[in-house]
Formats: sequence, C-alpha cells, structure tokens
Amino acid sequence: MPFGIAAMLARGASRAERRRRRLLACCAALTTFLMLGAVNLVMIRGTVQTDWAGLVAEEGLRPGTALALVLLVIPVLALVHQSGRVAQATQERRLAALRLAGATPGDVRRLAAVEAVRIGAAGAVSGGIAYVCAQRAAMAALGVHHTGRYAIALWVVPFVLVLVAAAAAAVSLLVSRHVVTSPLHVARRGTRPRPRRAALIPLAAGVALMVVSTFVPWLDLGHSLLFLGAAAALLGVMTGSSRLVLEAARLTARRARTPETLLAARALEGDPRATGRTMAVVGLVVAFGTGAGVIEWDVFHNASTADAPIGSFWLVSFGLTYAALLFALLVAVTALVVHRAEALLENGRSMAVLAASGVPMASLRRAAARQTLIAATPVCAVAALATLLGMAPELVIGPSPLMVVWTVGRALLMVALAVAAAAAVTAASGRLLSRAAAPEHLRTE
Amino acid sequence: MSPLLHARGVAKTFGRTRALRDASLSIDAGEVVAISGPSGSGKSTLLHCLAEIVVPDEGEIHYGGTRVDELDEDARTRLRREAFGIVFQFGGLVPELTAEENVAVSLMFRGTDRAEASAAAREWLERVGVGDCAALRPGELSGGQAQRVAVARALATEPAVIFADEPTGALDSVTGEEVLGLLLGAARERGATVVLVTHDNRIAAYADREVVVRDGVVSDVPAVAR
Amino acid sequence: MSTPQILLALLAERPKHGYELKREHDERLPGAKPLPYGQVYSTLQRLERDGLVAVAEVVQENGPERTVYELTPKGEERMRAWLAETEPPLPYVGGALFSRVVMALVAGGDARAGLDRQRAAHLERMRELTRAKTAPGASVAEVLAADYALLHLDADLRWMELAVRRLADLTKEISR
Repeated sequence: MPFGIAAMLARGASRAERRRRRLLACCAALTTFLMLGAVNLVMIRGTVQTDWAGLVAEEGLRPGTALALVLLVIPVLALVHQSGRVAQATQERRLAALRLAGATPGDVRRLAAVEAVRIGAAGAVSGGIAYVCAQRAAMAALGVHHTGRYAIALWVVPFVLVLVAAAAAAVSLLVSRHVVTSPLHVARRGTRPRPRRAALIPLAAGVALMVVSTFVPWLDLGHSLLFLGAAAALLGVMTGSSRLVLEAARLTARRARTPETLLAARALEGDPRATGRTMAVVGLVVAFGTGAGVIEWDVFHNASTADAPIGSFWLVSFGLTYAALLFALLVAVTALVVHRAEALLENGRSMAVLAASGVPMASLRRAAARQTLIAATPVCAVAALATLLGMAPELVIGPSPLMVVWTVGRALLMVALAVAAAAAVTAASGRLLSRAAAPEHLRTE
Repeated sequence: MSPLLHARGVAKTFGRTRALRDASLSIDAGEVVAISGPSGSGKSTLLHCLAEIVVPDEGEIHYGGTRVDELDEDARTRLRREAFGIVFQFGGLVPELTAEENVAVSLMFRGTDRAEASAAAREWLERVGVGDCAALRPGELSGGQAQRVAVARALATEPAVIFADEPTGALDSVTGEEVLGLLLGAARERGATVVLVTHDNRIAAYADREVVVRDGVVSDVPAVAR
Repeated sequence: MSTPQILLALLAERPKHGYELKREHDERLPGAKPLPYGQVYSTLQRLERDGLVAVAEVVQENGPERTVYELTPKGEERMRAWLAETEPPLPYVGGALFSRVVMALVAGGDARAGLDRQRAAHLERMRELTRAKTAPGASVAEVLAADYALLHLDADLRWMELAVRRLADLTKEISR
C-alpha cells in the first residue's frame, strides 16, 4: 500500500523536488561506484610488479587505496545529509497534508523511507552499471592483459547495491527524526542543542600534546607524541568543527564593525551545525592535501639528493591523490551550495526586506562571502597546522629552510584553495541570493 | 509648491496579471496618506513602485521634483537607503540578529559605527516600548513586539518618507492601533511623510487623506464630499 | 430610549439634583447627544410618580432652589434588572443608509454615486473621531466612545463595499 502512495507522490513532485531527487540518486550512484571500487581492490590477490600502477597492483598498497575510496564517501554523505535537510523544508507541507488525510506518524516515516529506497536503488543500480562498464573500458584502454584478475566479481555487485539502498533508507529515517508532523503543521525541532564545547576536547588535547612534545625533543617519545597530538587534533577538527565554527562566529560577531560581518557571523551562530559538517569535510581535504605536500617533499628531496628521476609510481599516485582531493572538495562545496539554498529558502524574506530598505545587493553578497570565510578559515587552518606538525615534526625539531618553505607553502596553498573554493561557491550562488531578495518575496497575500 | 512624491499613469504587470493599470497621485511633504482597496487591487504594487522597490512598466514617478523611476538600480538603492524607511506586515526582521542588532544594522548600513548605532538602537527600542527586549531574537518576540522593533528600525534612520505595507495586518486591533500610533506619532513629530497601505478602514482613518485602488486604477478621494 | 434607566444608574452613586444629573450624563457618555435639561426634569417627575426615586431634600446654595433625588429600593431593583437584561441584537434591519440605497434604486437614482459620496463622508467622520481619540489628554471614556462609533462606521463602510459589489445584481432584482 505505501508503495502505491509513494508512487503517486513521486509523480506529483515539483521541479525543486525532482532536482533534489536527481541529486540524491547521483549521490547513491557515486557511493556505489566508490564502494564497488573498494571491494574490488580488497578482493584482488597477489602482487604484480609495475612502474606506475602500484596502488592497485601491489598487495601491500591496496588496502590503503581501498580506504581512500571509502573515505571519499564521507563528502558524499555530507551532501546527502544537506539535501535531506532541504527536503524537510519542501516535504514538510506535503507530509502534514498526509497526516490530515489520516496517515499515522509511522505511515509518514515509512513513506519517506520507501521513497528513499526508491531513489537510492535507482542511483545504486546506475552506479553499479557505470562501475562495471567503466572498469571494462579502462582496462581495455590501458591494455590490461589479465582482466579476470582485476575485474570485479559480478556476484558482489548486488550485495553492494542492497547495502547502498538500505543505507539510503537509514539516512532518511535519521534525517526525519528532527521533523515532527502533526496534522496541522510540521515543526522542525527548533531547539536543536548547540554543538557542545566538549567536542573541542580532542582538538585541545591534540594541540596540547603537540606543544608538550616540542619541549621534549631529547626524548624519543617526542616524535610519537607529536604524531599522536596531530592525529587527535585532526580528529578534533572533525568532531569539533561545528563548535569551532560557532566559536569563530561568536568572536567575530562581538568584534564586527561592519553590518555585513555582523550579519554573516550571526547567521553562522544561529546554525553552526550544517556549515560545521561541510567544513569538516573541507578540513579533511586540507589535511590530506597538506599531508600529500609533506610526502612530496620527501620524495623530491630524496630524488634530488640521490640525483635520480622521480618514479612514475609517485607521479601517478600524486595525480590520483589530487584528483581525489579535487573530487572531495567539489562534493563538499556542492553541499555548501545546497545549504545556502536551504538557508535562503528559510530566510529569503528578511533578505528581501533588507534589500527593499536600501541595502545594496553587493552588501548582501559580501555578507554571504564573509559567512563562508568565517567558517572556513579556522577549520582549514587548524587542519593544516595539525597535519603539518604531525607529519613533519622536523619543522619544529630541526627544520631546513627549504623544507619549511615547501611544506608550509603547500599547507597555506591548501588552506587558500579550500577557502577560495568555498568563497567562490558563495559568490556563484549570488543568483540564488538575488532571487531570494527579489521584491516578489515582499508580497504576503 | 510641488508635491514631494508624484506618480503619473503608472502601470505594472507581473506575468499575466495587471497589478496596476493607471495610477496617478500626489503626496505632499509631511502628509499621512492611506492607500486602501480590496485585496489584490494593486495597492501593495503601488507602494512598491512609489518606494522605488519595483520599476513600473509605464508612467513616471517623481520624488522631490526629480524623476526617479528611470534611475539605475544603484541610484534607486541609494535613494531608498537615504530617504525612505519601510515597515512590512510581518516584520521581516533578520531572525539571527537580536532586536537591538536588527535596528543597529540598518544604521550601520548607512555608515554609523557599531557602538553609536547600538546606542541609538537601544534608545529607539526604548521609545517604542520594547527596551527590555533588546537582547531577544525575533523568534522570542510576540507579534506586537516584533512589529514595534520593525517600526524602530524604520524610524531609526530618520527617513523623509516612511512606507508601511499593512503594518498592522498581523496584529489584533488594540495592538495594531498602538503600533500605528507610535509610528505616526514619531513621523508627525519630525514632519516625515507616511504612505500607509491598508485594507482596514479604521487604520486608514489615522491618515490625513485616503486614496482608493480598485482593479489597478487609483482614484484620489476628495477630503470632504458632503 | 433608556434615559430613565441611565438617570437611575447615575443616582446609585449618591443622591443628586437635576442639573448634576444632566452634567454627569454628558460627561460619562461623551459623544452622545447631550441631555436637554427639560427632559431630565420631566423624567425625574415620572420616576418619582412610579416610586422609583424619591425627593431626599431641597437645598438652596446662593441660587435657585434645587431638589435632590435619591434612589428608592424599588428603583434600585429596576435599575439592576435593566443592567442584567441583554440588548436585543438588531431585531429589525433598518437604518437610514440601508433605506436610502434601496430606495435610490427603486426610484431610479444613481446609487453608486450616492455610495461613493457616503463613503467619503463616513471616512471623514472616522478621521475626525480618530483625531479626537488620539489627541493628547483624551480621557478613557472619550476613547471608548470614539471606538464605539468607529467600529459602527467601519461596519457601515464594509456593508457599503459589499453593496457596491452587489449593486448590479440588486438593480436586476429590483427592475424585475
């Protein structure tokens, strides 16, 4: 029975709703693709000597590559979560109407889950097909001989597809726990707890560990302490990003001298979680990028002291790393656009009123850009610093000037890149803002 | 003396709906004018045209003797910022800002520094009777309190013209009249002009003069027609 | 009219003479038609005849003689009974405005123009009342009286707006 109603609902969806569904199906397809890749890698046995394809061909490196693929699912999940929140805003009215028509809260939740499974399954199937086809095509293009050795076993594919569809349902239920539908209206649980200060403990502990370890360089412990501290700090960035964003917003709001900064900081303060989640992903990208920079330094340094050319293994590996980082950044930044759209959907009217009372659009755009900067800068900076100290303790213990320039430069570059990407998205979503602030939103009838 | 605000033959179409067909009216400086008419008659559109928020398709709008409907967006934004104050039916306050910040921000956008703007904002909130709500956010205010904050925001910049679009529409009649009384009292004290859109005759009676919009056409009702 | 009952209610406070009653009537009910002194006098006499009020004393303070009246127990009872009654809610639809619009159509006049003129007159009166009630120093009784009138005028105006919209149908019905 719920399948029939779900199908009816699916047919009558609005354009925005369709767009959201396409996005979700895309996410499911991407997740399937990445998961299949990871499973595929884990299932290959034995080592083959190659110049450049070591990440796939060597037994010892494959788990790491598989882990990287699984990690890439994280930004996709962040995007799913964000578009799930937009869905609440548009779906709420529909769900309330269903409650009026006699559906129980359980029915409504089941309907949402059925819909999620439908979208998830559609995405998973296309992702699975895409993976199998892409692998065949890639192997043909690269001239791989033992295709049977590397090709994914087809019997695994359905398992992964079912897993992804089930995960879609689970995520939909998870998101809907913040929505209470009554027949008359749907209330988002307004008083969601603010991110706790305790979430910053790993970050604080990590930084403390790193500081302590720099004072005990004579101990062998120094190195491992520094690494431990960096790992804790990085974990802290993930768990504490929302709180970090909140603290940054509070600090900025208190000091704000221009109205744009004040608006930006207060908007973040009002809803630090959504931005925090996205920024955690961006921070992760910065951390991996900085780490890659440190490894690069080692590789280049060794190559130049040994006066040997850099192996193609490294070049391919770096290339793939950057491709993965770019992908993660793109997905994270898309999540940011979706979040921005959601925020404008909710607060568009107050923007329209500000514009009507003579605030130039440029000011509103500036406020939006500052909002991104306030959130992105601390998270990215802490992520870069923690990685740098954790992976290159020589920086504090016995730095060589060239190394400092190279690694710190790379870290700064990553931070700048991430912040710029986030800011660019905000600038690009200016059209959304203009539309939200259009005078049509002033009409109340 | 030429009128402060003057519209001639203004027409505006949204998609297929003709919101205004032929609207002409003159408003003198210091006057309080009510624009009334049934819902959907185009009265809000007329207000938006007069306030330079939307550009009319046809006709002319003059403010202070200069034609303003032909100005570019920047110039019209500047005019709105410098000369106009606006109050809407549902406050339209920024939800994340406190009441005080909502008022202060509109001053800050006009170049006042934050400390000075905050002090002025507190003073205005005091004047409209919500001084003790300064630290609350719009979600924590009642409808009447939020509308008082919106009034304070519009008045704080000391505009020459205040546009009010159904400012009491969401309030009960006693609260509505109190809010309107505050708005008009402060405006009259400073000699500001007020343009008030309302469908409520008792609110329209607060004005010096009433203009009726019917099916997008404006008729200037003579003050006395006995 | 409820003049006798109003006088009884005013006397509930303490015994008063005729001129006092007139003054208090006009003060407590601002905006109402002022009570002519002659009517106070004749009403008091009728109330005395029915045993609802009685003469308490006759005083003379450097002027004419004044008769002070007081409420009798029977008068008190009558006044309380009146206060407890409900006002019949508009038993007959009437009013000069209603009759004038319908008759304008019956006699073939221009009802629309008449309605527009009436609307302007109503609004002018509403502005006058609003000015009076928002004037600094207006008493609560004056504000309440103005609100009473404003709400009634508003009801008239809304009826007129309806009438304008239904004018075509009404014309058709009458000319049938």
